[in-house]
Amino acid sequence: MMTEETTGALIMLCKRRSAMYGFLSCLFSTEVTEDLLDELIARRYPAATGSEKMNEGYRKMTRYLSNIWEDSCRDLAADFSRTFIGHGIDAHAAAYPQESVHTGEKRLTMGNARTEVLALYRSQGMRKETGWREDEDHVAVELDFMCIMAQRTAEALQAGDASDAESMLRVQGNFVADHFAWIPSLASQMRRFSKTDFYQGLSLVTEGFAMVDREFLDEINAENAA
Amino acid sequence: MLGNKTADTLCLPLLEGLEFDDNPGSGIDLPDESAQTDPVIPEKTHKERIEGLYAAMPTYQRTLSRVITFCEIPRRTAEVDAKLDELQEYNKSVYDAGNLCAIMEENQALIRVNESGDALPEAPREPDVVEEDGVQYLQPKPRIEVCFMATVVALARVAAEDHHGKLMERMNLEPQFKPIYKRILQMCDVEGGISMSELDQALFDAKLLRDANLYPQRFVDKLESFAAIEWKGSWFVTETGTAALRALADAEEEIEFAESEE
Repeated sequence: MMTEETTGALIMLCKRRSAMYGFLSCLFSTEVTEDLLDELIARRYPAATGSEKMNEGYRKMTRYLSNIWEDSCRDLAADFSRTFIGHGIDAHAAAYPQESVHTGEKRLTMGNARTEVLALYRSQGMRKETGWREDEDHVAVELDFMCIMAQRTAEALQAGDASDAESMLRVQGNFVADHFAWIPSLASQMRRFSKTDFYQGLSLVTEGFAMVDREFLDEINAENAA
Repeated sequence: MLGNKTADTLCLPLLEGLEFDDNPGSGIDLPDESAQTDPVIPEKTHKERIEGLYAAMPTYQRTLSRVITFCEIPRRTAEVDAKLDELQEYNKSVYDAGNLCAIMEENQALIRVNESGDALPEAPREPDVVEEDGVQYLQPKPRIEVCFMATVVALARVAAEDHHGKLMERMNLEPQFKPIYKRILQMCDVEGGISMSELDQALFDAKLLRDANLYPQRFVDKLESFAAIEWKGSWFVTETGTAALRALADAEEEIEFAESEE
């Protein structure tokens, strides 16, 4: 049974998790635009998160953002393309952002992982926006799924529906366990292919946050089950 | 990406009973980052890099030289953009100012400086650390104003360009065609310039060309490559071309024409 204070703290935490997932999803979904770059420069980033990977990632990203000039957007677009699209014809020419590539034996897109996450999205009443052309197991979509689920959890807690919130936390815990195991592989390949501190840092922040959030979800789901 | 975000849905117990993987990433082949090594490429000198840049872009050499001359003083990216648009008005290219400057910078023809022309610090700027309610945050610094300036070696390369000397050398290798070169330069030295078809019509039947099985275009190309004429919607004579005309003052003007086949 949660007290009002712990519920308030959990609501705040879920909102922050949602914002963080949304932030990461946005950076993975497409190239950074000038407007987004201005927003990123204006933001502040935590210096000590408790995760060494996240700390190092934020240091790299903020170092890059501290040296932005007129052509940085083009440099970032080139690095986005180099990192996630590549120019080779084999399956090892870039850090492909689809889960199926990392979890399937033949490194192909549209594999089992995509089928599984698609079923999960549907079970939560979500569907892909028509304008989004990438696969459903694209890292940006998986992060967006977690962003929405964390937001819904906060809303359920605010509405006093603890049971619904617990259920959604369980879904998130299972999703992270089943579908974030490839994040270290993606992050490692991002560090191999990207040349800017921005995407090097993003890989570390994403990997660190996925790890931290999994620990949080494991812990809270274990408490709820007890 | 995911629509219907506010849909009020029940959470189906689809995933209950699944075993959690305590070791995320297990079973996934992670590349060994420490094993990645870059091939060793011998270092080139500054001069070699700039010569390499010119050699790699043979049809773009005049534009490179003009950009280098333009950047003798610090120029903002927007100014270089505008200059390149002007230079490429009649010579469209896949290069925009951004990627051309990046290539020139990579080959040390241009460097990034501040507005006073001082080199930017080599070490990247670090973010500020700000504290709020006892929590430390990293705050990125504001955007940097970056200008481009030509390097001393690149400016020396442009200053050493001797289009006139090389053109005269070329013409001396084939002195019999001096009247052709002279006629083309004269025709380009008029207000409004001259079209290629007019040049073609004027010289197509020249016996000198017929006998050698050559066409006016070949001489136009040569003159253009030595910066004696340039295309700005029509062919115009340049300063180098005007100097060449002066040097050809004594050259034969008469050109014998073959009977038209028509």
